[in-house]
Amino acid sequence: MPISPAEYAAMAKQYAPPSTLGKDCLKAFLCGGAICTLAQLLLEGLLKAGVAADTGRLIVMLALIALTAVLTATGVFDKLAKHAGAGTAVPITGFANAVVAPALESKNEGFVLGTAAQMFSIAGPVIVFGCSSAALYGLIYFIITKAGA
Amino acid sequence: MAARIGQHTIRLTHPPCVIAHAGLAGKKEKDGPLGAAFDKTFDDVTFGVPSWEEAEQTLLRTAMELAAKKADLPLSKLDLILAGDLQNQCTASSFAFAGSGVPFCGLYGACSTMALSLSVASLLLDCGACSTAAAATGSHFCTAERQFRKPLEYGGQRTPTAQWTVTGAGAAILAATGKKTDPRITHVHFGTITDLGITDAANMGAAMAPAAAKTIGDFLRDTGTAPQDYDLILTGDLGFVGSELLLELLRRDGLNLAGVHSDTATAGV
Repeated sequence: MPISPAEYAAMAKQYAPPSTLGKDCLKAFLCGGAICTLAQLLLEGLLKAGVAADTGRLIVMLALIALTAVLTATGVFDKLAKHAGAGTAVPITGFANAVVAPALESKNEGFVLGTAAQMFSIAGPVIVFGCSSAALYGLIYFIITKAGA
Repeated sequence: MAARIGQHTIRLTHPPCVIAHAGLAGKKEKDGPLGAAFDKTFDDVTFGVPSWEEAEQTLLRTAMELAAKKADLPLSKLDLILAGDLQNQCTASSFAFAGSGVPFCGLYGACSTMALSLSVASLLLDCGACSTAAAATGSHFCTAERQFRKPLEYGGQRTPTAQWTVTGAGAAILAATGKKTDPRITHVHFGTITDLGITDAANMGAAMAPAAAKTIGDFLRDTGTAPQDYDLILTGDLGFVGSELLLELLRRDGLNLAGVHSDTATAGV
């Protein structure tokens, strides 16, 4: 008896074990929260030490990127992210990992055509859409403020 | 000479023998249901070489050398090597057998490469084009991840249906003649491409099950045999989800494979 793709899709769904959504959300919340708390603590410390707020925020971001790079290179990050999911992917840690991981992986294809060329293979779309939307919103903002003036 | 029976099945007039075979695997496979069945397993899957691609070549070459040794046949005496892997342009098998001095036929069938190489080798032996041939395939988790998925250190989550590419290699030596107890390949059936529209790359079992069901159904119809005529009907790589779907699809087709079918994930049925 022939089976239609729609019928089969329903059947495949029925046999596939579901994701543990509740557990995954809780783990993501705790890990993501912990990363943000760590960043906030670092910022508070910097502010107390007399660093300007703008500079402090920049230092915090750089520290998280550096920490992620080290954890990615030492093979710790992916083991953590396996449990944390969006908890490590949403903060800047996710972006840093998405750049460092392909850079490491492509090392044996050469420095220029490997590491440099492949570095943005995952993060590339984020940069494209990030820059495009920034330019678009900038243009809208410009028109509105010009019109208002 | 081979003869076509039914619609798609080929019956071999001179069924070749599998005179020796070897299977090697990594650590995860050692801990799996087939762990005890491998000739050798390796805890260190880097094999002390600088790249994963080279590690896969080492694995393939070692499996082939072991199979040839078991067959008591120097590798150079083979008429043909038929092999494939999952890397671009089958680089693992090409480099693995580059120094062998044996003619090489690279094949790509992804999950089906072992069955494909055995099928083509059998046809060549049956028609007398070869008197000995080797069929082999290999894969390495770390090269497959890069080829098809994300870099190894990328922090992502796997869905419950995601499968894990084997780190391992298998090789079989086939000959036109062999011992009475050697297994023989009597029929070859190349399946037709069957796609029921599964687009989730992390659910390969569901994507492949319809093709497996069609191949098994067609073969049974062509040969006029029933599932219960066989001790085992084996599939590979369908996993738990794919195996369940295969049985369900065949049940709808009036074929009951329960108790006869086994897959890599459900070994020991």
